[in-house]
Amino acid sequence: MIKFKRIDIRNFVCFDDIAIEPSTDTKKPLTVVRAENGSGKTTLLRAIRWGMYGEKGLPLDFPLHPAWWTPDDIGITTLVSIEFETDSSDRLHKASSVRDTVYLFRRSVTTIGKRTDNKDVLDSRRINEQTQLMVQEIDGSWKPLPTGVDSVINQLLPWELRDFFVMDADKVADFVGGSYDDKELQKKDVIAKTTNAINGLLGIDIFKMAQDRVDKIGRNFGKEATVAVGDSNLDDLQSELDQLRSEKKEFEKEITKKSDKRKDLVDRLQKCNINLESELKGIGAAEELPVRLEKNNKLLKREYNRHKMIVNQLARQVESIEFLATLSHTYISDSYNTLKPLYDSGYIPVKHLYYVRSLLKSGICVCGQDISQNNKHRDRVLEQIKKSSKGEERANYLSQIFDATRSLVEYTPADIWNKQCDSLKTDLVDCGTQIADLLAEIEDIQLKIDGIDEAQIQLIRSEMDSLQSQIDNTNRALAGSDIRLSNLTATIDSLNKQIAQRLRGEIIAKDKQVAESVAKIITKVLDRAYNTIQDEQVTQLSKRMDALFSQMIRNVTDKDLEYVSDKLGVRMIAKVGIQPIDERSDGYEFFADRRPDSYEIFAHNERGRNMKHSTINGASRRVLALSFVLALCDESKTFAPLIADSLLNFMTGAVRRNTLLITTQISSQPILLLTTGDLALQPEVDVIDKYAGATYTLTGQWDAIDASNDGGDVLRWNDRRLVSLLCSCGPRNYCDICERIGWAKLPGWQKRENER
Amino acid sequence: MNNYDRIYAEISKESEALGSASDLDPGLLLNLIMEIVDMEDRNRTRKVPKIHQQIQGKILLVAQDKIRKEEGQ
Repeated sequence: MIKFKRIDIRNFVCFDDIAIEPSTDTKKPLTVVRAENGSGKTTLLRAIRWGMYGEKGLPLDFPLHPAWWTPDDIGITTLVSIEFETDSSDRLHKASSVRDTVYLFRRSVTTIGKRTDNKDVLDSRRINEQTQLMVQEIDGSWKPLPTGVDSVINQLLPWELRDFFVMDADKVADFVGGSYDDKELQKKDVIAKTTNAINGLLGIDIFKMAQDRVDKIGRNFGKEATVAVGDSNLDDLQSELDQLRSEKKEFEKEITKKSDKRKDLVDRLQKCNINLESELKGIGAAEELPVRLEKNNKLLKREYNRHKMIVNQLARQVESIEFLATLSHTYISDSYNTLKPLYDSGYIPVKHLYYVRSLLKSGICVCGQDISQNNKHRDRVLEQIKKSSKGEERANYLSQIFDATRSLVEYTPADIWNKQCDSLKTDLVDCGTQIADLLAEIEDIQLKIDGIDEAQIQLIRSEMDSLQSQIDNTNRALAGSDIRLSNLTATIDSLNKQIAQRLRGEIIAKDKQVAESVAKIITKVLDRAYNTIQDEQVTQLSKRMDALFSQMIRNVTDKDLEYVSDKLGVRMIAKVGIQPIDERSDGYEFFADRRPDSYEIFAHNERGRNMKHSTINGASRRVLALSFVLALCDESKTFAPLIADSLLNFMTGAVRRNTLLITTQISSQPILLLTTGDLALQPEVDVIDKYAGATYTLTGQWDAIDASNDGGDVLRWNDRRLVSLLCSCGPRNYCDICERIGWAKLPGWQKRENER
Repeated sequence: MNNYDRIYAEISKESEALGSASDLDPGLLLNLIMEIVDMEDRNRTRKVPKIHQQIQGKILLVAQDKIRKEEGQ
């Protein structure tokens, strides 16, 4: 449920600032906005549409601009705000809470002046279009909501249903042909519009949407299943795999056979080797013996050289100093031992004469006597020194010999010589041993060489060569086989992978295939349910439409049909409703791929024959279309305002009265934009008096300006703004704003106190 | 949906008939279809994110459930 509480319009074309508070009284739900033709009714409807849907809600050629305004750089803001309450239900869903919520949505745009090359031409452009949604708090304040206005409006009254709830009744006749000139286009368009309206408003288009989507998903599943299986045939792959496995098995047998053969050959080669060794008497290969012999001969020659060198060194030891020192050592020791007591007792060398000579130089003897020059004591001393001089020379010579012998005794040349000789002797013995060993080994090798059976060895070697050759060949064959086996294994692995992938693909494909079948079942269920419900609802809608049409034309007389032409009038129509059509049968290529699920409005005459829309007159077509629109609004159980412009145009008498009454009764909040002419008669006034909770009158000021020239009929106006003014006058009220010539004299009309 | 009950009843009837005929659990089928219808309904006024993939996934799950049941028998 949605109910408008207040509509504010500022700077919208011919309105500078007006506010309408539609009736929310359930007993008097009707709101009437009265206006002469050209006073702003349609603009009011468009202002509301713009507020709800933005510029797409306006006709393409509609000149949206601020009221009586000269463009400048600052700009002026056009604003439409609508305050509404809802019980949280939307057009198709029941309320989830009991509390009503009041919202306010606003749409605004700023128009700024745009300079042109021509000074006389003013241009403008619109910038900064904004929307805002607010919710009323308990304390009456407004709290902005992040939800976009458009999504809320779309949820409550979608764009597709604009013609039903924000209705320009002049356009309603489109459902029965309208004003199209192109008959073909007309019919296609009318059918499409009618069908969409039925499906959309009854809410059964969900089936169609769901069905189309599931159908598409199902086809995708089918494609995915095909892709998952791939091009390769599983049986072919399996057959190829079996063949390869068999080939591999045979090949592995062959390889085993070759390996056994190689093992046998290797064994035989080993045996030959043993035989050869045996033949060579365990000394190794025959070719090694001469090598060893030659090596031993070289070693022997080297040992002989060493032996000779050692002998030479030993010979040179006899001539060495150490040897001579050793030989004289006994005599030197004797000399030393002889002289050592003399040395130890101080006889050698003689040292006291040196002291005596020093006394002579001093001239005083140790005994104190003068032994200076020409003294007998001195002479005696000199005598004694002379006697002792020869002995002193001998003693000193012996002392030198003693020093030499002592040095020689302390030197031990024998030890050194002996060590050198012992080392050489050891080397000589070792060399002799080596020579002996080598000679023995040489003799042994020579004996072995002499004992080898060359023929037998040659035979064994030939066999070994042959075996080795066979082993090499087998090895090469095995290497080739290994490569082939490896290739075979790789191919088998690849095939295994392909098969595994294919099997996985089959599992996926199965999933997808079953999913496709499930999708098909869903599509079928939806299709059947859709058809059943659609038939039911269309039948119901058809009945409701017929009932409403009957109510609208009840008590109609010839006088009521103001616009009777040579075409058929409402009284010729016996039954109206909706009928399914198969457009394909009519040859419309446009619908060639669609099922026959389209609808059109029909009118049958009393004989049950279909009446072509083009043969029905305009007023009757209007009633017919209105009965469809109102029936659809009623059947859709949409609790929303019904804002209708020019609803009663072309209607007179009973039809007009009935239509007004029915519209008022069907809608939860009818807001009707009517002309004064629509309300000229008492029956309509009675309906308004009974059901209208709010009335307004729009007065175009340009009518007053015309009055200043040649006959505009608004009596009072006090500014020259080209705007439409709003007052609260009802059908037979007038005030200073809206009063026109003659109204005061009309019977039943009353003046209200002016309000602005 | 203002005619939700009627839609539910009709889909329930058709699910029973077509589900049984194709070895699909009618209850499961009914739930799935109602979920799809509900998503489409919501998507009409406020875009349901990835609705196509969501529905696709739900159908696939029901299909796999059917396969598992068939394999289990």
